[in-house]
Amino acid sequence: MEQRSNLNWMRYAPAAMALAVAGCSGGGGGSESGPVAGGGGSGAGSPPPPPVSTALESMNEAARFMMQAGFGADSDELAMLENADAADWVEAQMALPPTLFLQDLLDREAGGENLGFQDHSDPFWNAMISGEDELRMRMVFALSQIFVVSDSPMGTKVKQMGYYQDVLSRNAFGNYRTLIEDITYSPAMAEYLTYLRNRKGDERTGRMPDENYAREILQLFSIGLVELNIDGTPKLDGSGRPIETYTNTDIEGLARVFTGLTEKGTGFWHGDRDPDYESSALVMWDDQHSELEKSFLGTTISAGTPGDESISIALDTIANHPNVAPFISRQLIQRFTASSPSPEYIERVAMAFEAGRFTAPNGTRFGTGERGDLAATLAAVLLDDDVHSDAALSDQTAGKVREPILKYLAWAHAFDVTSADAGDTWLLNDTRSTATRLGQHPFRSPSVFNFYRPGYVAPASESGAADLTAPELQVITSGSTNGYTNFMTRFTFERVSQGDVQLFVPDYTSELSLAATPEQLVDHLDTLLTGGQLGDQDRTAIVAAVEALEIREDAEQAESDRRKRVQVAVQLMTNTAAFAIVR
Amino acid sequence: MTQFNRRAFLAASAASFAGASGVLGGLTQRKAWAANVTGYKAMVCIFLKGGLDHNDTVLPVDAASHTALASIRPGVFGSHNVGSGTSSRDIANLIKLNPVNAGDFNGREFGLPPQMGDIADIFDRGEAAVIGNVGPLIEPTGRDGFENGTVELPARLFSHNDQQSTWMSLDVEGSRYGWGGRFADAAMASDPNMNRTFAAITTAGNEVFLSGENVQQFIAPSNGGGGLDLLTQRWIIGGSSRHDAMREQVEQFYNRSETDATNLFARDVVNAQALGVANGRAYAEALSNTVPLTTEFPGTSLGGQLSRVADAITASDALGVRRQVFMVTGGGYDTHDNQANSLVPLQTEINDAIAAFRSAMIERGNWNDVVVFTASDFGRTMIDNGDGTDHGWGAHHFVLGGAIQGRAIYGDLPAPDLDSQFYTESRGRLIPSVSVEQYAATMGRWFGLTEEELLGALPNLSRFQTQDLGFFGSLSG
Repeated sequence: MEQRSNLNWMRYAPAAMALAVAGCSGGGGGSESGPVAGGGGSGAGSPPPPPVSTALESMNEAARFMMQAGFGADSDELAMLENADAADWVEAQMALPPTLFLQDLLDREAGGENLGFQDHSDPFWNAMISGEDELRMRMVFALSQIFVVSDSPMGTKVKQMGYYQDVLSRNAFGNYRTLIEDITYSPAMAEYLTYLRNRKGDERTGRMPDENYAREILQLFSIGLVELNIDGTPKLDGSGRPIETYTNTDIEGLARVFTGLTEKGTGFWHGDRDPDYESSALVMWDDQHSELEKSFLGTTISAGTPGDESISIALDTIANHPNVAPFISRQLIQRFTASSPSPEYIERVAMAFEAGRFTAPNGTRFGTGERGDLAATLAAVLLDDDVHSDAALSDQTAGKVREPILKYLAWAHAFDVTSADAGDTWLLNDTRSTATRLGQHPFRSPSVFNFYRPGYVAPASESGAADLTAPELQVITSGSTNGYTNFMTRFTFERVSQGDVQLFVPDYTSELSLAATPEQLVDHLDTLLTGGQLGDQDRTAIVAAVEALEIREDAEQAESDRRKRVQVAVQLMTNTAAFAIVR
Repeated sequence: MTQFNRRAFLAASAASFAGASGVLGGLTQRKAWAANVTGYKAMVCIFLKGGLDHNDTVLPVDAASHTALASIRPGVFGSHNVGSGTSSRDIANLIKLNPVNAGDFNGREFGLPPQMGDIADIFDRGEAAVIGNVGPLIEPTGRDGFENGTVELPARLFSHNDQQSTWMSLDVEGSRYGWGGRFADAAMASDPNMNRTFAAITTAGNEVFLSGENVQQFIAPSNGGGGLDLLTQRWIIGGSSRHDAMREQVEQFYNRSETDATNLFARDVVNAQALGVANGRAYAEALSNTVPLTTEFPGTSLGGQLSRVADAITASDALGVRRQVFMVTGGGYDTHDNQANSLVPLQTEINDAIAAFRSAMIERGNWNDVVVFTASDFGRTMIDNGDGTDHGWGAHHFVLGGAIQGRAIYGDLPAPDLDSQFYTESRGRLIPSVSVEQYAATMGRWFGLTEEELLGALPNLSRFQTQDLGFFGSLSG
């Protein structure tokens, strides 16, 4: 398969590049630079502090940023990024054409191939491992954990999954309102949340519309359960209690909206489907759509309103709810940069969502100005002071727990693995097992509630004692760390093969050249894998482990020993305290 | 008051507090019965994620009720092909339960789907009971109180994650401690020599049910040991003695119990790893010394999980613990759609796994020492949505074990009459007549907790006059 070219992003870099590099050390450009929202925590009357520069002034800063915004980077890529501005990388990445998934599946099928269960999953792994549009793929992975469709009950309906992956990929930097509409009309979501062929109620039999999607689109995809301030903290009533956003009556009203949708075809029923129903948007049949009045969230759709129009009004109502900005912003932050973001950070991002615009410290502008702009929102997540400040490096509560899939991908990116087609190895077929694999698999969460919950506080933990949420600790536990370690061992020790062909081959060339000097080797890996944040204790321990194997005289034996040293160093690096988080 | 009168009492208490005298006398007596951790006891929670449709699990088998149910949910009955003579939901094919308190139901009779024939058999042997209409409650709640908003209700009813959390921990998502973990806390506090590392064991994910203040859950690995390849498989680093020093350094690295990291998240991950290495090793060692069971478990998810529970119970001496709380989970119960096709195989899975577990416990001589109980997010709406059902509230559950005063129905199995006080006005959701805390307290008392410990673990228990449902008859007042 095509390998990622690390330099390609430069081709797409805009003219602002030169300006960015020139201005990188001064903390940003002109007076209008800085996040739209300003510093949420600054006191009244005092001018906001100057924004932290998003220039990547060293290899370590570049590595740090690529862990937060992408899937990691190898040395060449870091060298290119050094002295660039993070804002320009974000802008260039957003301009790249999206990796799409469905057409390839259709082509393969047209070529006579029988598509199997992994055929939507392998291409997504490949895109995360070597796709050029790294930021978009990271966003797709993030969105797949908010707008969850899991393939595990979907059988071999891989084209529905491919269609859904395309919905997330195309809309990754688009608008939230369009995204939830495309999701609503996607066959995968309809099947997963059971509103496919959901019929209007029937007074005669007492049948009522399926409430599943009505409930989950509110609880999980848009507004959540309690009213929020713009900074994500709950609004409280007179008695100091949170205010619930909807009642069961709202659910019953909204459930009427999501009736009448079915797959593309000549009629409403299963037998009426067109051959390409799996790869086509859902269609509305008004005779199966509830003609009753639909009331929810203070909106009433009058009786007799057709189905598509009802959905449009409903999605407008949902998208315009003031909760959406903080609710979605907080979760995006959690997926990229902070497991327990501060209210001030959430507010800054939510303000970008509201304004549809974000201006980076170096003056780079993101967004169309339309509320719900995800490019502006994501830029605000990635170019925030909390992400780029030096203070975060020593903050006990800063950063994001690196989820197992991101740990694995950081290794794959750092060593620019070749022969890395996920379809060639059973190891990536299903990485859900906590006992033997990663404890999560893309697009294969155990339920619509994702691998972990955004509000999860780990029991008997130091972060929990400090009241910090840490979703990822729901899958990273004393029961899963050994599984992760064993999984990584296969890759770091180059034990992945198919017959005689070695797969997922890491390029350890630079590392092998440092194997005789353990301190330098660990310094090098520190930049590559932990952005220069490796702690003294782990550093000392890894150096000791590397030194423990003597390099023999004989050339061939020496090569073998050097390789063993590198493999041990890399494996232990992926288990260090510094590697456990990004910040 | 006999246990069966108590059932009648519970039904009454949902609407009023009349007839409550007599129960408290039993409680006073029990006060003297102090915390007890002698002998071995285990609680095994089978959590069915998604919301088990109780209405499609415990079904009426008398013609009148069966017809009434069919008229309320024509979609579900239709998709089961009821009336075909071959439907698993036809009266003739349901396995009738023969409870000793059959007379409490005015001629109504109950059965289980044929997929749950072993459970029905265990029931009729007196080793299992049905607990009717259990669910989260803050205080006794009837229809009027619910509809008028005059009673305090659990937060976020009908929401999956919050009701899972409420069943497990008596509060919505984000709560820290579950009642299983608190029960284990109390038991461990009674004997500091017990090894609390293995007092709460999950075979699935990390679940709040098992989180105690002092007891943390151990995740029993599906591959037995859970050792580290890098340490256990010599070919990875190298098999010769010249690799030993490196292997020792690697081992020290993975076992580091202290970290100089200051970031709390990083510390948590490193600590989890150190614990995982140490506990995984101790667990594998304890299990390696036990004679394997001859009972064969089905090759399903629940079968595999319950076989691991059986292994851990068998190894409890070696693990150094005499009170254990287990959690196994099954998924796929959120049957909004296609319920007839999706629920039936799940019921087979539950049945076969529990039957095998019972055999294994009998083989080990532990069946009298364990209680297996079911739990789920919520019951489901009586009124269907076509071929599926939506989120409800109260539901019927099962308790099984040699110590159960079985072949009985505790709580209520309300008649299929949506105008009755047992249902919400909308869609016929059961309003629980037994709270999760009463259900939990009955087991906790058997497990050995004192009344004080029970009240500490179950914050609303004191608001219910009956604090023991009686399904461990010998302990009841």
